[in-house]
Amino acid sequence: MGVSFLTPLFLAGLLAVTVPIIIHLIRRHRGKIIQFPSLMFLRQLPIQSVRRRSIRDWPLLLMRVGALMLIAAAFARPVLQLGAEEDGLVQDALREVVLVLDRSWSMEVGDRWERAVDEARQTLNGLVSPDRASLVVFDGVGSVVVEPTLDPGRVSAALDTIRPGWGGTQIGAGLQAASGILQASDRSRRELVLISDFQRRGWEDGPRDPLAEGTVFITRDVGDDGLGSMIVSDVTLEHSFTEGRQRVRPVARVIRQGEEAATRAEVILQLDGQEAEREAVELESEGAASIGFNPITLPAEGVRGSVRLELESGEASGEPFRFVVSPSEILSILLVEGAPGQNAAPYLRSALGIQGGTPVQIETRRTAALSAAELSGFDLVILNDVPLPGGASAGALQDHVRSGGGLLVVAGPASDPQTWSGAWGPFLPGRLGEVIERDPSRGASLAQVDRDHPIFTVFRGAGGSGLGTPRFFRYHRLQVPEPARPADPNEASASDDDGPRVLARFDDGAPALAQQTVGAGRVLLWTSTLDNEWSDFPLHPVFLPVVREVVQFAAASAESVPYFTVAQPLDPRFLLIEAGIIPRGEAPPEPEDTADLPVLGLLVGPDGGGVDLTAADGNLLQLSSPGFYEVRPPGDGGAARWVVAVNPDVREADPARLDPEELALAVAPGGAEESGEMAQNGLTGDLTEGADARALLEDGERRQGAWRFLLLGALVLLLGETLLSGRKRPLAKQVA
Amino acid sequence: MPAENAWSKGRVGPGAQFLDPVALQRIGSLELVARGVVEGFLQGLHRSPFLGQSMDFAEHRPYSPGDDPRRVDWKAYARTERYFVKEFEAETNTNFTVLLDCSHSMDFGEQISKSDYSRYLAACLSFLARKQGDRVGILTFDSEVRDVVPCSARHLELVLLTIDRARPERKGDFALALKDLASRRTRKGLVALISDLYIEPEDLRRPLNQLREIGNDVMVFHVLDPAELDLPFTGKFTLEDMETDEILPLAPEQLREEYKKLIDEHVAQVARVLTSAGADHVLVDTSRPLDQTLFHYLLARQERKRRGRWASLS
Repeated sequence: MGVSFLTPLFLAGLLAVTVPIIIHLIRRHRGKIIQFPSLMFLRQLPIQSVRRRSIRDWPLLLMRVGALMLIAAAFARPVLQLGAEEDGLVQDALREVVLVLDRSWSMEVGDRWERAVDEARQTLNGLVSPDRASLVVFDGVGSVVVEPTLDPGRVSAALDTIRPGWGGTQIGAGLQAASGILQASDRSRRELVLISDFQRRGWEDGPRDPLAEGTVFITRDVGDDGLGSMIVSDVTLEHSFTEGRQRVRPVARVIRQGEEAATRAEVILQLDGQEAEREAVELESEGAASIGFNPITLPAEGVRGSVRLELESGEASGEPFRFVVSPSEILSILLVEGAPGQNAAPYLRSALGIQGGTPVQIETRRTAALSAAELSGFDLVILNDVPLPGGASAGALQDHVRSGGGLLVVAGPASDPQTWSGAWGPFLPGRLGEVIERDPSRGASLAQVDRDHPIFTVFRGAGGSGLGTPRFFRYHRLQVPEPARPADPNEASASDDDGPRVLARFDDGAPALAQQTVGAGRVLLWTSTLDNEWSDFPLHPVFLPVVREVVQFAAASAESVPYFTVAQPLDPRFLLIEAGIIPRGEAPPEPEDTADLPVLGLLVGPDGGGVDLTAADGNLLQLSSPGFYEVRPPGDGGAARWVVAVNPDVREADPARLDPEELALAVAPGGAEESGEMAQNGLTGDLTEGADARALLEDGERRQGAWRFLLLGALVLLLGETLLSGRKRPLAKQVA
Repeated sequence: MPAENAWSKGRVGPGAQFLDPVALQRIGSLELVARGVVEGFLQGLHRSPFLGQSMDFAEHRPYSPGDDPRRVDWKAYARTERYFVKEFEAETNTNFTVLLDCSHSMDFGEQISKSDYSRYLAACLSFLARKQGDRVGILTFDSEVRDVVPCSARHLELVLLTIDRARPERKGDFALALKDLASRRTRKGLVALISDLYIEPEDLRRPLNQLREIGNDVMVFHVLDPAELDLPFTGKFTLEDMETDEILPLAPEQLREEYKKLIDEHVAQVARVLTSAGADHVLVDTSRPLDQTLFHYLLARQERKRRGRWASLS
């Protein structure tokens, strides 16, 4: 039976034993200091140097060296080794335990959080040295709070510092972060303990990657059945123009979730802190209602608004839903499509005409033969699966784009590239090719998306993976010319912006969306249709925001966003542009330039804290708490240039719960059939195997107890050293 | 003891605390014979125009008309039947200057510090000198000359006051002080240097020669504490140089004999240099009573003068 060390790195502390030896050699005990008139004779005596190099107090030195050695050995945690067979059992029983703790907003309800922390501590108490533990927390994003450690106390201490936030639930994000730890572990037993209230939307809206093979999935449910609430889930702003003035009608959507929720409430609209209107609402279970308020004539500057619910008891229900009402421009779109009944674009039209955001005015034409006069006044022309115009119409459309108009070309079955005029060649971001047919059962998906592009910025962060869910069965091949490589790489940026650029690709690498800047306008080409013939894209929720973002970008129009959600990524440059600090259309400062830039703007939160938007260094901001945030220029007397409303993730109010067993089946690596035992383990949290090994591990606690005796020995030696060094000795007696 | 003298009781002026009455009573009977070695005394046995107790009989000479009849020695007339007139020798009015070392190393001592002892010694010497009619002055120094009181018959109180104020605080350099004194002195006289002489003996030679060339007679009181002579410490401790702050941890038992050889050799070498330069060297052990030190020193000077006279007569 040998001895090994759990933390052998501490044995390096044995080097410290040289310190007292060196001190004993080079520094003799000075004893009492006596002032003497002159050392001119004593300096001449050679015997001093010889005595300096000798160790005279051996007992003291040995005590000091011994104490240091014992301390170093104690910290190295010596363990009496087992036999080979027992050791094998123990190695098989060593656990890597990852606690995955839900800290979303819904965990704030009742005593869910306290129970979750208790569950985590109970799990930690069940660990046996040398099990390793780590802590992952998640809301919309999963993050590792405590890396794998042999000290469960560190994890327990970290639990005291965490509180639920305002973010939504993404169980998949937490599992992904935990999987990274488990896959890197060398332990034979890898356990993932998920502690959550198991909101169904927290699993359905996020990534659903299966766990790695061999992972034991344990769940701890701290949710409550039957709880529900009535909340304001959304506020849309319907813009209209009356007598040259823009009016906005706020429409609040109120939903009731859960049987236990109240049925009646007052919906109160507040504008700039003053109550403006009050409406009563009564809802059945799982019911919803839209409450429209009277239109507001907008002042020159934005108005801070909020809608809150007040129950019959006078209590508030949920958080107020905040929004900012600001003047908006109408986006004028010319939609060119084929003959009636052919290439109809109901999905596209619906996506463009949906209420909320920038008001859109759509005019439809059946032919692409357009004159310059007809094109004037439109911000964007959409050629929805129609042949490109030729002759004068082509020139008029191209001139319209060069002067700042947008053009979105949607390629479909009617888009025969052979018939397209050669004048369109350099005008489009690529040369359109034949139609690619994909497997009808699987289709293709969007695999590579330029998330740094303004169109896809909103899809960054958790939840953006919805872009990969639509299936595309047909699309045109698009050959995008490689950008000319400049002689000096530092001069590349300008030409890259102007040249063709692929913004999204399918999983076979074929471009799905490409862009090119022509003059002052932008041309975008979508290589598939925007209907349900060539894809199921319009049937997915991600269709609406993608179309809105593409149209906004092509028309170079900025949508006035009434509110954001907690943890939603925000581009600091976007905030600076919206606040008018950076002129729209002017190249924003590049991230590498921001270090040299003066402070352009601050984002001041509801708690008064400010963030330098110039120093964000290209990183996106994620606002962590609800409220109104103000974008201010520095030294402008504190006046807000733009206001951002941030609301909690209302999905957190959804009481629908996920059965932990169902989740265990879903994350099983081998499918539902093979995961039965694992799910059972998950529900009970018990280990059904390795009991002998666990007993050996528990015995290991005693085998590791030598450090206590080592520290005790060191303490005794240090005590002896104190007594020995402090003993009374004759000092500098003078002869009478 | 100084703590019991009249000064500490507030009845006399500053500086008087150093004038131990016991010491002065015993030393007072010695007259100022020691001054005989001073050239001013030897050459200046000028006839005193005054009569009184302070005059010593020198010789007889035959009476000549015009002499004061009261000076006729009638006892000699009774023995020889010839008229003789008594000749008296009066004390010399020479300059007596104390060079007092106030360097920090003088602040050492168990029973009494070398500094206190030296100040008592300087005060006694100055008082005696003044009692014998000499002009007294003082120069105190450490790394530089601190206070200078020129020699004057009226400066005794000022000298005592200066001694009273002298405190050892800084590093010493009395080679500089001797040089400064040599440049200041234009009249020959008697110079008493009081110091612990932590200096290379050969470095004393040049400034002493300068003083001697002017015609001064130099007495050097080499003041040392017994601990400096014997290094009686036992156990382990660290010595700190009082002037350089250098520290030296050591076990003195191992070094004592070697140290004593070195200090004895130093004292002997100092004595040789001083003797060769015509100065007197007196090793002062601060454990010995002050009056005893002065007594022995003045006796030795008297003896030396006597021997010198006999040698000159023979």
